[in-house]
Amino acid sequence: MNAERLTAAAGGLSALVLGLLLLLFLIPAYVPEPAALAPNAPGPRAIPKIIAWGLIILGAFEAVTTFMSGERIRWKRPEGLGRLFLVGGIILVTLLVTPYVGMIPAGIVMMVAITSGASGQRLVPSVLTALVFGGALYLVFVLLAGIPVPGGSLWG
Amino acid sequence: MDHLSLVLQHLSQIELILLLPLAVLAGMVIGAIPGLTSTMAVGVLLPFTLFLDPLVGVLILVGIGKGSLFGGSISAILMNVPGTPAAACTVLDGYPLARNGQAGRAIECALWGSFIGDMLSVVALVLVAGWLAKFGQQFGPKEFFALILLSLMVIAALSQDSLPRGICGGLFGILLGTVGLDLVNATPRFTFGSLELTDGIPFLPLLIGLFALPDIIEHYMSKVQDLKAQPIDRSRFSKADFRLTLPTILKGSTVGIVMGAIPGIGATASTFVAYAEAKRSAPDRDQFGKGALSGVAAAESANSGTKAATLIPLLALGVPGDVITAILLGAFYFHGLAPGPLLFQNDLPFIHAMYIALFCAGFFILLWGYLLKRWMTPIASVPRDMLYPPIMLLCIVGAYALSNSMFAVYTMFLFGIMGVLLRRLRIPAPTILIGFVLSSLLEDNLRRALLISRGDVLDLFSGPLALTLHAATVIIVVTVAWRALRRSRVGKVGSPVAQE
Repeated sequence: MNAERLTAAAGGLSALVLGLLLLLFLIPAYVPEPAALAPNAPGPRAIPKIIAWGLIILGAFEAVTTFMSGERIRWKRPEGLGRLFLVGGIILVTLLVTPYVGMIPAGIVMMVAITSGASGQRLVPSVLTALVFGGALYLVFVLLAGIPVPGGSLWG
Repeated sequence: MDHLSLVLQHLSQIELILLLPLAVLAGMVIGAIPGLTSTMAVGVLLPFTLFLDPLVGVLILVGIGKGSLFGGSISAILMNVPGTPAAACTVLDGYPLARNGQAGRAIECALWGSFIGDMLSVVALVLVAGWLAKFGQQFGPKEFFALILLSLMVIAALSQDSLPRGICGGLFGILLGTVGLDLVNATPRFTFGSLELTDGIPFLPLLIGLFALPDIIEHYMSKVQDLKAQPIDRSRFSKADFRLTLPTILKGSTVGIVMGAIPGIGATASTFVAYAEAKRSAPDRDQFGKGALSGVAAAESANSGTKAATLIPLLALGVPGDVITAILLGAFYFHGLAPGPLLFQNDLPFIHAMYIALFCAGFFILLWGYLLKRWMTPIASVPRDMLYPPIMLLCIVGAYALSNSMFAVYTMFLFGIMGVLLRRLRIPAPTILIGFVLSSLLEDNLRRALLISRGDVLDLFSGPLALTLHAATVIIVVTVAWRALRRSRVGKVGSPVAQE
């Protein structure tokens, strides 16, 4: 039961942890103080420090009040986790091959793979949708608007 | 060149004439499909508007937002699912009407409510924004600092059920905005040695990641079935219906305008207020919940009434009131324009051209609404499995387009995963975006105010304007905290086990 109460307080706890992480590690390590500061002006660490203290105070307050209120939340295990990983894998492969085959061709294959492979839609409508959308994207954005997208090193 | 010809020059651009009606149409279609949100649409399409003239680019985004507000009512009426959160109240009476064979009448009622609400909202924008901008000219750094703080607090207070979580979201957004080179001292902050992060976290990948990808990821994570839409029938919204609902539409529009003009409240909250008021006073109040036209009219006029009104604080003071206006603020910056009093001083023809185009966009809602009526059922029923892959490709191209780097694409996916996590933690993403957008403005004004006051922090709280704004911030915090305390006490008395 306490696990569910802690889950409800997770938002506040995350803010508290982030605030502590900022104050104790991230700000000292990744925000260097300049050699000289303009007089009367806050340095580069001022705002991050205010944020860190804000996160610590509000995060602790939120976590404690939520826990004490007895509110419970149970995170459900996603039903379609396998499908999500499949879609994620398809996207990852698409991004990896994009520099070689180009963004639009890789995107067309990605759309077909997701709609018919991961979502079980019929192949012919999936292919037609992907081709029409990919073609429209190329026509409108690349040819008409001149927006650059990777062309793919395989095609020269 | 005189003022009028400059305005006409802005308005006569062929891209504007072609793309504004299409943007309204796209917004309507997107709003009509459950699972696609206007924020997602505006965010995904923002990169493609950056290559256009500033006025055209900004108006396309506004057009999409306007269209989607009416579009949200289509799925609310035909499918019992609000296409946008702002259409939540439209469901209550719209769907019963559709089930009684009056879908056409309900849609036309929503259309007129949206049209009138939108028109009155633009009138309010025209009347108030200029005056507010003049008033904003008296603002110095400390007043702007106080105003930004107030906006963040209102948005944090109203975006979720918990004020501390809302403020934490805003603080996290400001933190993300500090990444990159500190402009005053030229020292890197949280760049982790990455050259790409020297310029800061790119706005577009953050925006698309937080607002478009979580819906897509959650769709693939769950097994939600697409719903069937009710067919559109031949019932019409008669003149008698118009006379019956007009007072409700006018009241709803007023509520929408007033609540839209206050940063942070937005369309969804205003529809609930307008609906409650209509339920109390409309002639057909006994029909509420069973299919009252006034219920549809109140909700739709209120949510459309907010649209142009949310532009009032944005254009006049440079402060966004909701997520869409935060995105618009980003679009303005990308185009090299800074909304606020100076825009009214330096580029009044731009503002006036925008007003006229906003009026035109309202008429396009009416036009497309009637033309598309018979196609609304198939549009609302498009399976999301067919829609999300093209949207994903659009996200990738959009994130890549601006910086020509795959770094932006990977950043976008990272923020997409973060968006899902934030939903689990119940930390509102809108406050993060608004904190991020206002981050540099907040820091800049704070630094300037402290420089002027020679480091005296108390000076930030002096002067009638700054003091009033800070007092408003305190009142909001105290009110929300008091309400939360009361709610938790009532909850404890009412049930020993708190809500799950």
